[in-house]
Amino acid sequence: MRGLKDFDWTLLLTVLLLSALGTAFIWSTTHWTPVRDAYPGQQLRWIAVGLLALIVVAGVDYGRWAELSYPGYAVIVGALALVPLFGIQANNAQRWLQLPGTGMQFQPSELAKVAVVMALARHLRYAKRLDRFSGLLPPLALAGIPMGLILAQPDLGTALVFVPALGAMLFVAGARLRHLGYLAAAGAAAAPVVWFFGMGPGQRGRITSFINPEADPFGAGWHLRQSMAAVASGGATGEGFSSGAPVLLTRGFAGHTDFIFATIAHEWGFVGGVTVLLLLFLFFSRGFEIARSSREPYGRLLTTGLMAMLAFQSVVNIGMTLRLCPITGVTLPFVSYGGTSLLVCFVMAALTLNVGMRRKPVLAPGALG
Amino acid sequence: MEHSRGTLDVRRGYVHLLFLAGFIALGVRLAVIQVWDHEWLSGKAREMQNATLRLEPQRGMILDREGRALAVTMASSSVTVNPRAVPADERAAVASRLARLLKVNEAEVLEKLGQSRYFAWIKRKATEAEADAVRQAKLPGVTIVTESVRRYPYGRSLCHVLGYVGVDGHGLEGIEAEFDATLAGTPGEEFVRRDGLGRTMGGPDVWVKPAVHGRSVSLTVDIRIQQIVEEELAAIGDKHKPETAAAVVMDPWTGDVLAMACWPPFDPENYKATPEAQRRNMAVAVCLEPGSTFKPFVAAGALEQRLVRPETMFDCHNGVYVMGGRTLHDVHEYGMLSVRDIIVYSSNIGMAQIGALMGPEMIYAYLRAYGFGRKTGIELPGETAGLLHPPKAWGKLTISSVPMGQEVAVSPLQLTAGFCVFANGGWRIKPRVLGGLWDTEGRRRLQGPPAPVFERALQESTARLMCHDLLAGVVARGTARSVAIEGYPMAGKTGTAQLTREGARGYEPGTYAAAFVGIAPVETPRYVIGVVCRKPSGGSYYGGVVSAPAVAKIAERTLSMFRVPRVTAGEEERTVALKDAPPPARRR
Repeated sequence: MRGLKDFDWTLLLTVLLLSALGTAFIWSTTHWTPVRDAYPGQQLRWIAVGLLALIVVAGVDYGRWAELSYPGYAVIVGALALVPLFGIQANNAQRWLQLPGTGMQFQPSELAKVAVVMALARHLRYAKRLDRFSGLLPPLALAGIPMGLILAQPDLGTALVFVPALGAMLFVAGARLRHLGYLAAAGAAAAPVVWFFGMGPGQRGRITSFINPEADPFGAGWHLRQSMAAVASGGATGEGFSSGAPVLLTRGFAGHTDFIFATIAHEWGFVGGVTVLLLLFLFFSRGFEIARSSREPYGRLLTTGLMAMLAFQSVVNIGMTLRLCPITGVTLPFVSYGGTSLLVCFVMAALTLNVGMRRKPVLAPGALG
Repeated sequence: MEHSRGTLDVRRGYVHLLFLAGFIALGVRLAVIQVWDHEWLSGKAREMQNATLRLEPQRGMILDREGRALAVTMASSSVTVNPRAVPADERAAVASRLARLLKVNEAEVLEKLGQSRYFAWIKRKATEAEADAVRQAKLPGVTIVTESVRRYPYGRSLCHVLGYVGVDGHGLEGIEAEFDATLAGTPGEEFVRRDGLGRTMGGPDVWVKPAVHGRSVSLTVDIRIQQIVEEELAAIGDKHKPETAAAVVMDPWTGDVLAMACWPPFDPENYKATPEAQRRNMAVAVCLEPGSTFKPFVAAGALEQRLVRPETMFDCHNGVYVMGGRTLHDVHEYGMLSVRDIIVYSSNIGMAQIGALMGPEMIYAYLRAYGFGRKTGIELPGETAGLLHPPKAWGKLTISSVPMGQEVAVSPLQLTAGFCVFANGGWRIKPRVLGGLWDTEGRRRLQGPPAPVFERALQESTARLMCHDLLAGVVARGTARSVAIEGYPMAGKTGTAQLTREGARGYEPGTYAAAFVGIAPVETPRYVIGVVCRKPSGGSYYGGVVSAPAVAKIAERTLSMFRVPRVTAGEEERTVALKDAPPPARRR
């Protein structure tokens, strides 16, 4: 087994530790509720499914998966297009699809994360026209179509995670900094348009309350105030595991999903928060190391995109807990409660491990330059 | 343009660095929030718990040793307002209405209504009639909350031991303060979200963490004995007009404090009406020079060490004797006195000579063994350790002062606990007032009293000699002979100490502490009773005149209340016969 020799056990270990920590704190905030063990139990089942997926995805050479990049992309974009027609309405958004004939529900937008990065990597590995601005347009379209569909759900947070992935991949693939600068400027120019036409009042409220949480303390600012209160009162060593703090237990506070970091930082304090940060730090260090050491363009771009996406998601998630970023509905990878999101994170980790354990001879012409 | 391999490697490094920088920023932010600004932000967090309703736990009871309720918590109504829910144009009307219904200051109410808060008290502990009237008025934003109020069914009885609770429901003195955490329980919380006006939004948005009610505390005190003691202290108060007085009744075998009282008492339900100094439990918190009541402690050491026998004679120099450059006086003039009679007639000159025989080290060792100069460890706040200097710190005159109870100070509790050593055959026993812990309703016992703590201070023969012979002699024919009780032979010792000047050396002329500690009945002691009166101003100031009668009355009333049979005349003779033949002392 040549692959297992290069298998990154450290990366897998951080994934398992983060998942275990997440499950523990999901129990900690939900065991007061009438459903008690339902949340952690479900999370454990999803972790099991995720591990299974990890073995399958990592077991097959990623060269084989690469062949599925475009067909997979087509299927996912198709599914995203179906969401407005058949999607399930929840929390003022349509995000879920039900597989016909089964009770299984899933979020195409989560799956799109992997599909888009794979398609971009597939496209960019041979793209030689990147030194022109026009060369940036096809990858922009590849990412833009699903992003637009997700924005329409509406799900700003998930749509946003494509931006750093696209940027990082273009950058690493060799796009000119000047061109990337134009794109950023165009994005900034489009922001007012998005503000007035692309965002609902709820989403605008998240931004205004980020700037001033007191403006609407019981509405849009509520989660932020609640989260800051939880984190601040945690102090250096925390209030203790499952201490049942009122700020965390108030129903409606997403202490086990998007704001699970606030829960950890409250109950384990600074020590707990830093533990999570260090585990994530280790995970991304290993992931980016795989991206750096890979000589094969598809694998290199794939891992760069996946890591950029997950890292952005982590930073934004924790950042919103600490009032460094506005609240966007992104989960904390591996830690937050949620099935599709967790499964996708495991698949992403599996693809990264896959690239890391299979050092390929360089196929791209001119890559040795 | 083709990038070189190296450039692209470097670019991947940049992407990596960018995200790592993000994590470092998060770490710094976390440190700032949780470690640096923790205090300030936590304050804000507490403010937010305005959206948390406190569920008050019920405070436990305080019971006496037979389970009689001494302190209970009852419900009372308080009127509160949510100023934000009162429309601005109705404020004046609401304020004037509340002022009329509750007889409170209208301007103050109006000011409270003007605050941009969600909660303010209008009147705490309103009467039921007032609460009903407010309920019927249906004023906007005004609600009645039920609060608990502490009641003491026995009124002023045991007030100094029980203590009292403040308006926030926490104990400030006595048992209420010492066992506050146990009595108070843990508040629960009801979490609610509030709308912009601070009105709670009920329904499924609510979590409840129930309150854990407090436990009840039972004491070793018997409230019947306590009431006897308080009546006798009040009688002293009438007759001898002391500044303050304290009394302690102990069971010498278990260390149980059966009664502990100070005079004058105060009303724990309205404690603010009494100056703070008067609310202090003088029996444990104040130490005084014990005077002659201290003589037996020193004499017992000399007897135990066989330095003297009860029959050893000392020359008392007819009441005037110069020792170490100081002239000592006796109240009455005595020539030759035996050790027994030095105690019985309380001769200072004789005691000073016995002390000189023993030397500072030995005296100190014995006094430490009785427990003087350190806290007894009773479960009451503010206990004094008293005053007992180590021999190193003794002056030239100390050796003659300590044996007659000067240059030392003890609390009434320490003094009473010291006499327990004579009563129980030589054991120093730790006084205790905690009888056990019970559930909130006082139905089920959760924990018994703390185990008695014994330490041998005297040999049994010495203790018996002291109790049955020397101290019994004090009551039978000595300084306390006027208080002998028919049928209940008692032992004890009188003391009349000059009060030391506050904040200065020397004594304050004309002021005394009159003390008596009694052991009853002598044959099988059941009670050790100490009474100390500070600054009696009714003419007499001798311990044998002021305090001893009260001790005798307490002993007689308590013993007869428990139907302890009186000794008949014949038996009494037999006891006296025994007394005349004490255990032979070994010859030196």
